[in-house]
Amino acid sequence: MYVAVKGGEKAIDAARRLMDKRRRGAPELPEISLEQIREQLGLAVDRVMAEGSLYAPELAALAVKQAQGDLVEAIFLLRASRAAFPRFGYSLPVDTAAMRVERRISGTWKDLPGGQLLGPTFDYAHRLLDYRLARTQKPEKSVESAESAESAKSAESAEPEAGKPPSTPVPTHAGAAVPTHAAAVPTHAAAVPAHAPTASAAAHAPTSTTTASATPPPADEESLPDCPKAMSVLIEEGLLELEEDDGREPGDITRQPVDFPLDRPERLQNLARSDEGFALALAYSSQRGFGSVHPFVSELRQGAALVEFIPEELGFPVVLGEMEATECETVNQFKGGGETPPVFTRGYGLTFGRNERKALCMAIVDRALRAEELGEEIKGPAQNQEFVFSHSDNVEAAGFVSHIKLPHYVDFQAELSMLRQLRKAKQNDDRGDRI
Amino acid sequence: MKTDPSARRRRMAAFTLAPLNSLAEGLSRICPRPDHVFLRRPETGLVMVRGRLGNVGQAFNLGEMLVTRCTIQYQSRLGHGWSPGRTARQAELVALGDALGQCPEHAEAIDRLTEELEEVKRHQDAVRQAEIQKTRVQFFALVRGEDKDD
Repeated sequence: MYVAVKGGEKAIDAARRLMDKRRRGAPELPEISLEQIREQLGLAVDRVMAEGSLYAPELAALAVKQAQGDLVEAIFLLRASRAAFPRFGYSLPVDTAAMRVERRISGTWKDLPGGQLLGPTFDYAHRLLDYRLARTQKPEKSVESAESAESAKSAESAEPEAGKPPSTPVPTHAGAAVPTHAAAVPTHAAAVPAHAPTASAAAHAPTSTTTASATPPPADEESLPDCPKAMSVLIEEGLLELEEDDGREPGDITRQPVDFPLDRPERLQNLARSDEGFALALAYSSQRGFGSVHPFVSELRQGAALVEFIPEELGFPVVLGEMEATECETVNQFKGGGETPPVFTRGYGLTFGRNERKALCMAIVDRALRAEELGEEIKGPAQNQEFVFSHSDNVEAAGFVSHIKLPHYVDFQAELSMLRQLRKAKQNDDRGDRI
Repeated sequence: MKTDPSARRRRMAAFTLAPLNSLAEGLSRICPRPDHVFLRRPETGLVMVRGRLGNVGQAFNLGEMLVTRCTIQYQSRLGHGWSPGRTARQAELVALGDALGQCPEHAEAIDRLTEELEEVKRHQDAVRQAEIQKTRVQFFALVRGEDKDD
């Protein structure tokens, strides 16, 4: 039983004002702007949009500012802000194959049509603090000096010795050390490529991968390079299960009560806005054996996709804008046998913004959740859709866990008096025994 | 031609994706004092964005996107505008451009502006893409020496 408490208005008001003062920090420093957050803390903004389930960079930046960098709080703010707006309808499905690609890699194909673009990534960077960033640089100078420092540095360390550990941990430019990744950080937790399935060759020969010299093709204003899906290679050979659109209207977990078992589209909607930490833990648990999904990354792409919508009054699709998104497609072990020849199975992840870790985890968990459909033994939480669905949302989870901070005085009194009664009864019994 | 949906679709897309300044400047050249009225004032709302399994399979709901819509009337023409985020001015200008494109006296100029703004966008994308292309990577798998005798 929960009994309400009253009072405390003044203290609550003062606490809120104090929190606002803490948000502002030292008043002699300039206040941070939404543009600065958007431009310089873009990955925080992207995470808040994905898990807040609202693509609105400006509002997500505001949420990050208001929440003082507490991203789970910011996600709550952004999620709640949706209630203030009407819903106009559903977009056409975005076409990720037509994305303006800014990053595109494959763990399965060395040479794939359209090639591989590393784009902006932390993957091959040493995890060393860059002390140069400790100083704020002047607006225009910063870009130039960083570029010249990079070219100087990469010329100098063009051929690092195989197996040589990263040189002194001084704050050198992280990007210059690309080819030594196998030697750099031997633990799988830190160096992404060393743990990737295709990197087994790299483990034997530390310099088995290298980057081509930086000779970019001239910018062609007329035609941007074509980037077909990596999966098409397998599909042409019939080695991959096909995704088919039966034209069914997908369920919307924000509008309809959920009913287990959920369809894959509903599960993906839930995963798309699930907590990244939760999705990461599930994906990791699955890879370690609590679910047995340890896929290959067929393709991971990030870029901008057009969002189109058919307004009732027009009856034809209009462009609403460009949306940054990250997509991950995985190739997993087989289904089939008996009548049908075996084929690879697929996992799929798609998120707002640059959310690579999340998209990857989403694809792994999506595949893990298909256990029942594919007749696999269910041996881990990542394969249990009720467990995943019910605990993945950090707005719900944080709310329920945090509510126990609030006054529960009467409940607690009830338990306290129950405990006292039990102890008294025990004492009486003991006394009775002695007599 | 005023009701040709493909031309309308094209110009609306170009206006929606254009930088606000370029759009405003371009339209003011064509029609310095537009006396349009709002039939539907700029309204910000949500569109649920959809994706597809593997980009080809069943559709699913990815999450919502904040957009602004607006409908204006210019002379006897209705113009509709949609733009991303809380961008009332952009939605209004897209709608105005849409309406102007339906007027025979402005249609040609609007087509030219459409092409101009598409070019601006193409250029922006190309500049960004040139930067991205520098990160194009070629991985090599090396064969180890011990299989030489086979």
